[in-house]
Amino acid sequence: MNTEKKETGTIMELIRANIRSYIMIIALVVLWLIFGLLTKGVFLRPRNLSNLFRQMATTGIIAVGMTTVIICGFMDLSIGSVAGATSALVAILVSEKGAAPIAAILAALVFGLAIGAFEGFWTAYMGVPAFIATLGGQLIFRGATLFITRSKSIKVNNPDIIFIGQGYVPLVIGVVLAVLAALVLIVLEMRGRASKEKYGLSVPPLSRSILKLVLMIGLITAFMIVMYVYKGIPIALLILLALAVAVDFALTSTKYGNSEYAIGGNAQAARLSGINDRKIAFISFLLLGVTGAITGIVLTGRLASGTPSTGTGLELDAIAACVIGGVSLSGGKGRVWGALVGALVMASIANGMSLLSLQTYLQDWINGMVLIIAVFVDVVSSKVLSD
Amino acid sequence: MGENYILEMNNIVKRFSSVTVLKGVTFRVKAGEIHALCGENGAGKSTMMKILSGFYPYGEYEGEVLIDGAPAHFSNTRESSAAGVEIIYQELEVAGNMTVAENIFLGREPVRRGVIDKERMIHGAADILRRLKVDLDPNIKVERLGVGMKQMVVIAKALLKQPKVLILDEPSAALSEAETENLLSILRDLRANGVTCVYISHRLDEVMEIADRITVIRDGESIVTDERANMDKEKLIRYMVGRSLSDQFARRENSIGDVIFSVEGLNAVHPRTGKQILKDVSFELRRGEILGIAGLIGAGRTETAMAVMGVLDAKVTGSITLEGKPVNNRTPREVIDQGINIVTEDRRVLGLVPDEDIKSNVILSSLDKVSKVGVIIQNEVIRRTDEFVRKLRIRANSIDQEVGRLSGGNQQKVVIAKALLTEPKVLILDEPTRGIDVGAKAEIYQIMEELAEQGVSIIMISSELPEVLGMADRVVVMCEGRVTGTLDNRELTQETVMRYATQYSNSEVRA
Repeated sequence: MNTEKKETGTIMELIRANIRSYIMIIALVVLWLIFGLLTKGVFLRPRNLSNLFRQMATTGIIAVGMTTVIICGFMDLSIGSVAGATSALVAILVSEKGAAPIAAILAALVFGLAIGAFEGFWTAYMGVPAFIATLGGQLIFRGATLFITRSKSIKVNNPDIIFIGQGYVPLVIGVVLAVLAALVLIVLEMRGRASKEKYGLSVPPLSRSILKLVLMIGLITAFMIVMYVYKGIPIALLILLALAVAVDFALTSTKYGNSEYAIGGNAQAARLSGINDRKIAFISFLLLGVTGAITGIVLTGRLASGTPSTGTGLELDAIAACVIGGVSLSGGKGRVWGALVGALVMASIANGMSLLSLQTYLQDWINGMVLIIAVFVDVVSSKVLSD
Repeated sequence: MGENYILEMNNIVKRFSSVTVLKGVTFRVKAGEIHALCGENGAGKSTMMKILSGFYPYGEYEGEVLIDGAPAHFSNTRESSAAGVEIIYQELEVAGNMTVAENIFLGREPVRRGVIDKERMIHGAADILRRLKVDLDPNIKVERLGVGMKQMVVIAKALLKQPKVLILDEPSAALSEAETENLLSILRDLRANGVTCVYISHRLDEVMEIADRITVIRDGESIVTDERANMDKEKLIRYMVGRSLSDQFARRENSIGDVIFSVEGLNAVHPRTGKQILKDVSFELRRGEILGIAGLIGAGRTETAMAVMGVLDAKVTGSITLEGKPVNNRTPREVIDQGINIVTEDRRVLGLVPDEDIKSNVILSSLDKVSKVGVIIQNEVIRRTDEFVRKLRIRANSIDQEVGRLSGGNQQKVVIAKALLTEPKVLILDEPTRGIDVGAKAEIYQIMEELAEQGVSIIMISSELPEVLGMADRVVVMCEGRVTGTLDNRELTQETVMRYATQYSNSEVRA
């Protein structure tokens, strides 16, 4: 009797904790079905889905970094300009300075790290509000982009850089990666069970583990089929997935991640509990800087050039993706996967609307409303749940 | 029948999905009386108040609410206020950046041709403060006031609406003894002027002192309503907890060891105003000892604790020693690592991350203990948390429950668990039983006793003299940033402690 009560309690807690993700995923599926119907199936064709994923990759990569910064309770308005400046830097190094692509990429990553350190210094250590410090950064790095490109578009012919932005993972490698991913999932599940046993904790029934694995492996398979019916997994998407797995692990399973959520939830309490809140916030800005640089590299490849306006508005797209995906702007809440679903929702709407040849102003209106409604749903659902 | 009830709640039932919080509560208040409502946390008092205030609108509960005999169907707090129900919550709702007068008249500013009539507002505020016999300048900014005065502002604001019933929810929780006395005398004046009051409090001494009648609720049911004359404290506790708690304080026979920790000549100066916050504070703490620190609000007790932890916003000088070595307190991390930890006074602001679950809060100060190369070992976290949940009897659905959803007592136990996981040699507990119910209080006392027996040295800061006298081996009394007495707890009385606590501020004592 008593244990029964406890069981339902835990299940309720579980649903409560995850209801937002369920809503988001259901919304995404509904959205896809609607666009599929409206475009008579064109939207759901592998070719379009592949495009869609490639489009969401750039916003997604930045959204991963943005998630860590927002969870700390900050935000960053400069990162679109950072991507632009990095893109310009890569273009100039490769096309005009004759640098090797790998050297250009390394330079770009260091550049991103340095900018992250700059923003982190002003916000985390000097106490300048993130809104202001990064708004300043936005202007500074947009200016830097203009300076590097001398306000012109710089063409990039280097096949390696272009491959990063436009290429696809060959089938063999793709399959190997997919199988590896499936194996890792199985091993992790088994080790989790073994460890639970070792600690004398209750182990969930084997059937549940198997069901979970079958579902996830099924998803991987479906994804592979859709991707390889067309040209394969876009390189940019692979980068995004790798980054997301790494950062999600850091956020959910490391001291760094635990401290992040604590700072975002209650900075004062975290500090008094012995957490170095400044250092943690600084690290999250470093991470965001790097994701900005990676996006810059991908964009250079996709556009085959570095332009003065590359990356404009990306910071707001990334923030919107986070917010739609349930990363709370007040800090302390949200997951990387949520932000990615958010990015996917936004990319789907943009893609679907352009397939329907809607006018740009209409697209802007709809994007704006989606953002507001997504947050409204969040506000309402969390209020209902808290009663 | 025929009784003149100004407020009636009859057979109120309130459910949240599957849980029934109120199981047919009846609560009737006569016009002009002070009626105390008592019950442990979670008994359903707040739910009752939320129904009265219209926070839970009509239709979401069963039963009837009558104001002056007329059925009340509130659908929001505005309507309840219009009907004459004013509730003063524990968290005082004031706008610190505005003046006393502006706060009192907030939302009801006197207006002449669309412009706020400041003169009338200030006069009105001064008038009502005079009626309350409170000496307070209406032009002063509220953020400069202490808790006691802020409360007076909120009471003045409520009285301005000439309510039929004034409800005070735990009004004395943050007040010192003198401030509480002041509050009680104001309530007596209000009663003399015909204002009906509902007084919700954990502090049974106050209830016995002020109430005309008392209603006790337990587990969502009304247990008893009776004249105060027919009640006593023992009886009240028995009604509230359903059992007798004749011995709240577990008495221990422990051996107190050598001096382990000492503070010497601690001075602190406010960085901007230059005000001396701490003056030459010195005391010693022995192994396995419980040292009480008593004093009025603002005596510098919390500031002393914060100075030890290295987080007092002030220029601090003096020496702090642990086991003969000076304590390095540049950051809380270093202090914690040396074996000193604190359970703060304000757990929601300084102790907990309310949106996070129990286990994340428990490990917050000990991430190194539950991780390998920076990676948290989830099962280790679960094991350690489970251990504390069991040891400290934390009541929750699971360790994945958000701490913000726990009762005050359980939240406090989570903060204590967080501190204990760091294995402190010295544990500072700042108001460890504030805002928690009688049952949980007794459990916290027991935890403290057990810790002391295990050799942990405890500094207990408390404004509740009975608990200081019940728990402490020695008592340090502070007043105005100074230590005014270090007393052995033998035959020590509340009066003696109060005399030391008010050494420099006799004007504050009105009792």
